[in-house]
Amino acid sequence: MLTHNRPTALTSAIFLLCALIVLGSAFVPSPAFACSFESQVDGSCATAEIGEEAVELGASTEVPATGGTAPEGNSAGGVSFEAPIEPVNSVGESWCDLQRLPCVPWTPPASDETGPVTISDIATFRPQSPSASMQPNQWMIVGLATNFYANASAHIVDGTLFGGTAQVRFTPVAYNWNYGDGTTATLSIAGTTWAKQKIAEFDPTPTSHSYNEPGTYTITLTVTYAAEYRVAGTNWRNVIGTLNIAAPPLTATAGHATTVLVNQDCNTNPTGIGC
Amino acid sequence: MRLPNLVHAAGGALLLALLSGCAPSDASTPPEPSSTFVAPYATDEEALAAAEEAYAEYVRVMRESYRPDASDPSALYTVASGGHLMELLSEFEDRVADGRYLLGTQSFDQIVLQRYSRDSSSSEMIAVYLCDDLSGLSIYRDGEKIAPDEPIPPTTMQVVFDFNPDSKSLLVSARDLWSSETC
Repeated sequence: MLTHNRPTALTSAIFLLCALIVLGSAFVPSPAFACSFESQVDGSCATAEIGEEAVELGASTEVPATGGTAPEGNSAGGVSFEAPIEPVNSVGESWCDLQRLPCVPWTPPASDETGPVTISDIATFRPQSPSASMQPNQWMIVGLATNFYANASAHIVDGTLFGGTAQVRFTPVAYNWNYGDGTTATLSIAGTTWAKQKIAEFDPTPTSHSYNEPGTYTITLTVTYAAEYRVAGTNWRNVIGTLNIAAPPLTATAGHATTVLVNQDCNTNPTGIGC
Repeated sequence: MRLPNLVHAAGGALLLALLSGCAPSDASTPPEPSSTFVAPYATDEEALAAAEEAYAEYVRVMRESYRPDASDPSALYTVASGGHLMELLSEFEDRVADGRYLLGTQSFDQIVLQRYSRDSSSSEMIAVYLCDDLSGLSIYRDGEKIAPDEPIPPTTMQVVFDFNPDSKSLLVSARDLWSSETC
């Protein structure tokens, strides 16, 4: 949940930071925010943490949000060498460097946002589309288990929230299957292939389903995602509500299997009698 | 969903054996993305395992470059890329000229996948979070420890990897402090 004081403090801090840069009196560690082992050990690794009172752009350099002054120098815990120090050209540049992602210029969150963030607030963030898979692929044997599984994983999407740059993390929490034969299931696990479960084909799995009648069926999967958001290095915060995303449907045919005698191994002689 | 009896199970097994020669092979393989870029790892798990292995190699090479007698930074080219490599090379020159080096132990764990971009490009293909414990490392010059005053706590890092299609290896293209909280 965004609160009044964070965006206000942040905005003030950024303004102050920019003002100090213009005056040529404020320097922070490298805007690349890259962190080598040495700079991490000596405490000069930079991060972008938003505190209640200050924007911290480094382990030992703080820019107060309001009513304060920037501390002089850049202490490094007794280290007698200087970490690479360059002025920050812009906060936006630093944000993009930090993220190492396709650059969305950093913009401060609007200061008048209040209340919890709901799923409708993040409507512009679209999660990756899930997909459904089945074994065997697009056919089933009546009475035997067909292994259905979802392809969906937690992932992060960049975008804008309340006018500010933000990230939303989508995590699949439920997998809603409609098997097309009048039965449905809501599962908490995605499932996986028979091979990865180290069981034989047609063995039942936690996500398998058996058909009782031959026919052609359309199987649909809808994945329910929970969402969290973060702005400029804050911790992840919950988004109220969930989002359902449908996967492209599968169409498959169920039939009875007939046992036949074959002359040879059908793998080695696919055109042999009975194959 | 269990089979009703052993006979049925045996029949199913026989049926499977017979059908296996006639059914399309590897029918469950998902379709490949229609892009010129071919993702080298089939699953997130494979990508994460490759990233973990690549980061372990990155740590090994980095530690070699921090030895007191290190003078050749060329091995860094095999584990890092882009701007991050340039930063490491620049830092190496500066460090060697100043006579600094690192001694101690280092480890990492809790590696989790942030993203694996299968259908974009080899640049920044994988990003992971991991907990890097550098608390056992110290910076020295001329046999004298100069930093840190107190051991730094383990912290969460975001590590981004490029894929080198020539060497078919992952190269660290960014290593950033993700959270200053102890992990």
